[in-house]
Amino acid sequence: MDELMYLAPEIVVVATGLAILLAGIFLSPQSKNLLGYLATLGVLAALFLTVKSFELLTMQGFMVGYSIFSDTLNIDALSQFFKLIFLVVALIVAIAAIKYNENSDHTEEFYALMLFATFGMMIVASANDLIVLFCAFELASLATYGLAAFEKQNPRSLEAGMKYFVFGSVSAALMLFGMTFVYGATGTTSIPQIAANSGLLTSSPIGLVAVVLLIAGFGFKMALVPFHMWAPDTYQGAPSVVSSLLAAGSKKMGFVAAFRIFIVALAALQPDWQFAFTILAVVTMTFGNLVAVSQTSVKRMLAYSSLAQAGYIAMAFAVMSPLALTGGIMYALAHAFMKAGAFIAAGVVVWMVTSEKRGNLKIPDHLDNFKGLGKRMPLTAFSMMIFVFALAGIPPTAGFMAKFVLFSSTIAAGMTWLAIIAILNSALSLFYYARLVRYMYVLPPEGGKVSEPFPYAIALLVAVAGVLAMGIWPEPFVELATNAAMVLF
Amino acid sequence: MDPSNAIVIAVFLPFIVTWTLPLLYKVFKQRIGWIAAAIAFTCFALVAQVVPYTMAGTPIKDSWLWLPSAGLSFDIYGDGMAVLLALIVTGVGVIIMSYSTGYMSTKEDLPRYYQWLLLFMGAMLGVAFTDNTIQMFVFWELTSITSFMLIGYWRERPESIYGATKALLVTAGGGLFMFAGFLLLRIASGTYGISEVAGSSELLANVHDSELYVATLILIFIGAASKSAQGPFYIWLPNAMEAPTPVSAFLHSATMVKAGVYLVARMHPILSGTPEWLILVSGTGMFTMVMAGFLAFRQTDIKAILAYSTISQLAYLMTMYGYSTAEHPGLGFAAATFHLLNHSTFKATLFLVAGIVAHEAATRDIRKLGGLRKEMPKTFIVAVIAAASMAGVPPLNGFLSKEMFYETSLEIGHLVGGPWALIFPVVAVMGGVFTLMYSIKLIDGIFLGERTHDHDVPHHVHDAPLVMLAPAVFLVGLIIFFGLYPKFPIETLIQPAYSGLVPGAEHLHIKLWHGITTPFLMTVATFATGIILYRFYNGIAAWQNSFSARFPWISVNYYYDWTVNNARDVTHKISAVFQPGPIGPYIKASLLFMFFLAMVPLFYFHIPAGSILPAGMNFNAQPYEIVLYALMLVSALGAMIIPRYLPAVISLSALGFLVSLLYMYLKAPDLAMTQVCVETLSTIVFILVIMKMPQKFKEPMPMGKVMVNLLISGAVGFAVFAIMVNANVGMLGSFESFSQYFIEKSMAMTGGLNVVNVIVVDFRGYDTIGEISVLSLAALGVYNLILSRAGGAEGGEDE
Repeated sequence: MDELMYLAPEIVVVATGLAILLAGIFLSPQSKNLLGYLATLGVLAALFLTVKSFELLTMQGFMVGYSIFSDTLNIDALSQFFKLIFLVVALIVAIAAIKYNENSDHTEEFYALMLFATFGMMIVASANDLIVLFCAFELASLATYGLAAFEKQNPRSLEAGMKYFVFGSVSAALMLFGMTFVYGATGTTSIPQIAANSGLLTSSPIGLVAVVLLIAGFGFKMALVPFHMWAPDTYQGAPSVVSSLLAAGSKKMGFVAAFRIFIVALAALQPDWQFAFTILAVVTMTFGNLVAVSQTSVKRMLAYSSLAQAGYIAMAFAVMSPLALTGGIMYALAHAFMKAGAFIAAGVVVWMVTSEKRGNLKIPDHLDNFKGLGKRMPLTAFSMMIFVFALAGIPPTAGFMAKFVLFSSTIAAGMTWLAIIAILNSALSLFYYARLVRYMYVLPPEGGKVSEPFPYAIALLVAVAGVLAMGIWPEPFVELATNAAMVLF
Repeated sequence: MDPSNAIVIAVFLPFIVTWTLPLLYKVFKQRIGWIAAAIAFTCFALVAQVVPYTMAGTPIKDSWLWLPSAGLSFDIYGDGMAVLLALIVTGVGVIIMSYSTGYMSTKEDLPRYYQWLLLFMGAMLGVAFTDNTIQMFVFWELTSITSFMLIGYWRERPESIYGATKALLVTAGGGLFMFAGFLLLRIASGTYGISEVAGSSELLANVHDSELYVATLILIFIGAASKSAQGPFYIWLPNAMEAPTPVSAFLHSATMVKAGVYLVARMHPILSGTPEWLILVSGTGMFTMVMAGFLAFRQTDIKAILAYSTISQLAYLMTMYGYSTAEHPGLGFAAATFHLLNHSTFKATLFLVAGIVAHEAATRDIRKLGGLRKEMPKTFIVAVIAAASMAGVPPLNGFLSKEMFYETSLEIGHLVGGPWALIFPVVAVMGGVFTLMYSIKLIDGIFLGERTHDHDVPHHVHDAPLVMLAPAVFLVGLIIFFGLYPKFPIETLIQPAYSGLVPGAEHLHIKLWHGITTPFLMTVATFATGIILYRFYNGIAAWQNSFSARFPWISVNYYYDWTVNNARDVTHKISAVFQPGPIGPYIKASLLFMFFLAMVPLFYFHIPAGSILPAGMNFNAQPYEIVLYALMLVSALGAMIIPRYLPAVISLSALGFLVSLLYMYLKAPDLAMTQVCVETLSTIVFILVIMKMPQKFKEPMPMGKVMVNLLISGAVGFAVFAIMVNANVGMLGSFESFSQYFIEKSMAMTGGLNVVNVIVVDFRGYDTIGEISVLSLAALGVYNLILSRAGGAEGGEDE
């Protein structure tokens, strides 16, 4: 039973999901609105338990985690930090989705899928075994495929789900293929034991092939160029709340899995994957920022900016110092707040345009629909401004603090050129973020004042609070991220 | 009050109060401006408390924990320079906010206006009192954002949108370069602290000896230059004039643009004293000073003239801060600092005058204005004094600091030697001549001459209302006071700033008259040349216009506009190539990429051997195997070629069953069993789904596409083949069999006689439960599919 205690957050998430699924059968569409509150409560409880679990870890000293279920799951600072990220995203999405699912007949499906996806991500964060990792990865993926295509009447949403599914399956196949070779060469699927045997991987080309395949497999999830092609189409087409979950949550799942597999298991091949990630990071951030400039759909722009941000996080693999990993891990949390919030804000505008039936209806998240948003929906516009400035790395926001830790560690490690490229990229990104702010605050409004639905407002405020808290008082977050990074060394 | 507390309160008070303004507006309505002015005055009073400490030469230093794990704290440092800037910011702030109560129409969104003004003021105070580079960057970017919001305050105008965006891109972008410079500085010095480096000879030596010195200097200077509109970065300031005039007076002449200069002064003790510093800072300054002064001629909008004049005056400051040699690092420091104060007084006054004129005469175009001296006598006097101070007429404060400028230009020229002994003073005089000329033009164009009868200008123009005139008069009082009695500002503000940042600073003596010296003769020359050349003012302006029309590429704006206008098109082309939309190309591209990526390590490892196949491979196969392989090939081909879905699917599942046969042949019956189960289920699901779809492939594929696809799939197939044959090389040998373990333990641990039963229900009980549930769930799915087919209407509702 002790072992189950450590999984309390996961159990709460799954139990809530199952309860919602069951309750949905008996409820009328109107009373299904309650399910959203139930999901929010469940996520809050899991969040609380996760925060509590840090206390358990502190008692033991952070370096040692708990290894449970015959070494297949790890409860350590890294896993709990990423669970925090997933739960925060789930919380923001769950709150916003109360409005999104209002009076829908499919509410329970939405929340069940969302919670199962969150569960999958949480298990990936803890996974200490290739098979467990893969299964959890697929659980999260399958659930999100369904979510991306959730609007069955909306061809864009269907297209989004379809592309995501096809790409996801290919990437899963590549990942599994890579894992097969790792298993074949080292004779085990347990991550610590692979690490112990990883010398065996360096003696044949198969080790490198495995690295290539695994990078491709995780690269799809992390949306690194050139494995990114599904991301813009999916983020744009999927319902905003789902894009929020995908960009802010599911992307981080790729990162935490990659942290465990490359840094821990495949440590012996570090020069090879470090080189690969350096190139991928540079290409990804530059491509993402360049292409984002031309986008007129805000969600698509956010998708490309998401690519760029993944490029920054991937710098952690390229630098590989404890401080850089701290920066990368912290960036993952910062990005969760900023990107989840930004997609929700875009979702609020989509809601406004579709419910008012004016503006550009064909592309409801078109830039034109953001004109004068500062006057029309002050809260949404202000939050969006905070999010995009944070994404650009302007202080005093989470984005700046994360970039600060990451870039300064890059320079400290002697990779000044990489830091300069990243900073130039930030300057470039300012260009399209500033354009969005210009549309919201400088261009005259086209339409009257609209008040945001309550759930959306709360979701935005949660994200804003996170972004500002991390920017103004970063110490506790840096401390947690440092402890998480220490797990990998 | 404790001075460090006073500083912290002054910095954060505006940030806190700003959130309450919308509420206060409900009570105070249009009088909200006075509340804002009161806040600014409170900050002024708080900062003023620090003056005695700086005069005594004991700067205030305090620190709070902020981000200890990254070596960061919230550090404040109140020395003379910081206090000087903070007093300018808050003092001008009081004046501007009071003036705004008269200038801004009550119909405007006033809370938003004062909110951003206060936020800006707080950010500037943060910049002034910061003692570490990262904190500096934080407040620095905040000033850029607040400036963006204020420039774009009048959202209806396309020009203000253009100007706001440009200002944000240049200043915030430049700030990022500065950030990079700060990170390099941290590498060179080992700390983020500013006064810490400046106060330690060891750390200073580290910075100067570092190979990163030049890169650090350039990056930080880019930040300063972009903020202070120097060099090619000047382009944003003229367009920023679209802001309401009080904002221009506050941000874009008196305070925000001083931030860049302030940064240069802050970095002075750390980075100055080298030829690089002199060349970069003074060189940029001198070039900008002459260029901007010259370009002011062709401007017709009062505010545009003032904008170029501001750029040119800021360049004076840069030039003087740049005057630095190894022996005399702070040569121009005192002069620059004094001019920084003086410029804030006279330039703010001129902007206020511009606001008054625009408010009363409804235009700022000097071609339409003229002869207003009779109708606006008070404004006229104020404007003349301010313009005279800018032009350097004694006995005003502008004269004093310009004399100092000439004097230091002579000295630096003397120290550098060679032709430079002449070049420095001559360029300085050129700057002075241009300043004099556009100062005359301002007065001449607005107030002198005949009244034009343009229909834009009202028939009768009133003089300024008291609420707008009083702040200007107050500033003019300062101009005269500082000119006649320089001892006061020098002793309270300039000397502490100077001594605080320049080691071994001498005591300053500034007098109005110190005999006929070379600087005095330079001033005389400036006046003589300026007045003579003023006759050609309009001719030069016309020539400038025709020149820039003929050579548009000479302007930096040309490149800015080109970049901004083309950015979208170019990136759109990139995205059209890489992101076409359909999923086919995506998959093909990814597969091809994977093919190359996977082949690289294989080639890399096998280059010595010359073949990617490992040595010692055997291709021995039994006849059974060969038959199996042949059948698999046939069914794979069948799945590909058959043009109808159903037979194709059946062919595909035949391939699956053949694979399970292969497993059986290779003595892996459990694997074969699983494969058969999975294959059966998936075939059923596949068929049930496919039955609902049209039975024929719709689009015939063109031959070329087929070939490309064949090529790609061939390549992928080859890659997989190559990987598989290589996989044998590094793999572990076969494992020891587990059977003995189960046979031994089954009786002892469970008491079961049938080993298979024991394995299924005991040893792998959980597995069995899992398998059962998976199979039953899959069966349920199949059942549902069948049901939906039979039910028709019921099951089909979602399609």
